[in-house]
Amino acid sequence: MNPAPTEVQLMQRVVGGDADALLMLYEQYGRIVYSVAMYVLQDPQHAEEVTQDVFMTVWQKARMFDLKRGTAKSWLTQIARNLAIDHLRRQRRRGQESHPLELAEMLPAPGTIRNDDQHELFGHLQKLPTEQRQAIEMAYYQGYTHQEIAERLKLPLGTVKSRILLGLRKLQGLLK
Amino acid sequence: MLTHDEILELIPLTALDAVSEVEAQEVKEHCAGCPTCGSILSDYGYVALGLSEGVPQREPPARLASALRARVAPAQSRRFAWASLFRLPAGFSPGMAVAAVVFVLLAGLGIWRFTAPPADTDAIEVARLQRSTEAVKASIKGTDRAPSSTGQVLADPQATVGYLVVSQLNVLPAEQVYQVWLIRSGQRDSGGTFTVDAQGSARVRLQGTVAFASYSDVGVTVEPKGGSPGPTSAKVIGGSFIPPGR
Repeated sequence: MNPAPTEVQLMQRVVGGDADALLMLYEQYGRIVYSVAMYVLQDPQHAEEVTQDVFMTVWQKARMFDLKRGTAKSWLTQIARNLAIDHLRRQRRRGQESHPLELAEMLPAPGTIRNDDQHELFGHLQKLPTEQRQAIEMAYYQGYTHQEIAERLKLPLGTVKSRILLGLRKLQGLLK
Repeated sequence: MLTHDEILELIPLTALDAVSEVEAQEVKEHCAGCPTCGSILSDYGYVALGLSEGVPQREPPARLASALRARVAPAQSRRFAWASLFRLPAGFSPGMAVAAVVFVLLAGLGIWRFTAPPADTDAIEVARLQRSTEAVKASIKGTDRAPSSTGQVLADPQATVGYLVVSQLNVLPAEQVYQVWLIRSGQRDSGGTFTVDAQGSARVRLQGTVAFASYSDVGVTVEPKGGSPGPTSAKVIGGSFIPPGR
């Protein structure tokens, strides 16, 4: 029995146009990609579209992946976040704001699968003071700039910067 | 030009992608030449990465895998055997860690998108628009000058950028191009020029003057290389836009 291909071997096969390799990559990372899209978009249909687009991006640009610069999981996760945020921003430009800012709606949905190790940092985010967590959530998961956050929350720009900085410093401290 | 202190203030925000594109570019350029700031950005990048990878896990629907298979299978036969030309390094030394995180962070800021070949991005965008029920779309058909030709124009209603996908147009002499005309209230805006491949096909990014929702019709004419300020020949292919949801 052949051992499972490594991440690098899988990416090389995708570069070579091997659709089965792309689907194996999906088997490994489809859940985290979909999870990121779902968390940002809060909409299963749009999350499905984004997930497909992430893997089509990989299909077309796999040669840009470089292990020296990060893992495939990191790469896929960041592409997922980018595309999901792009989707949100397009919705906002069209006046189809579907993300009310109430923090309750950003909380994990019941029945979600959790892995405590992976979610340690995310768990710490939930424990930050509400105003710090809110600013970080709006920036990172909803795609607002600091100026937009200040406008939406009707706060001085400096206050928003401080909240994000304080929150991030706490999270960073927990990693050390 | 931002000062060093101003850059420092923006670094955590940059790590979260909460700055404008202009600010992000300035921070990125500064960090590339300033090891201290580069290291700080890397540290915050780790945090941001953890926030992405740590979201609550959701199981994707089973149909996603088959949908993905359906999308890649037709394309597989057209792919070139890049593997014979490409080898990924197998090693990952600790000394590369800072560069790695900066790269991942830049990916988070969309830098990959800016450096990617535009044709790939366009293909994804066309696929999205074709699926979208909110896009404005025009099915276009050839006139007697290109009777077999068919195609589609797609765009988000409020966007000024759209796409033309066309097939079975004649290959033109080198001194001529096809030019797209976007029509609103009798006025014709040039959407750009293009040529077709040997099979007569093309995928073209169109630049409108106003939002695509304002356009009623689209037409394509043959013009001298470089394009014309207005159409100088008869329409080769064209059609009318259908509003979203119809």
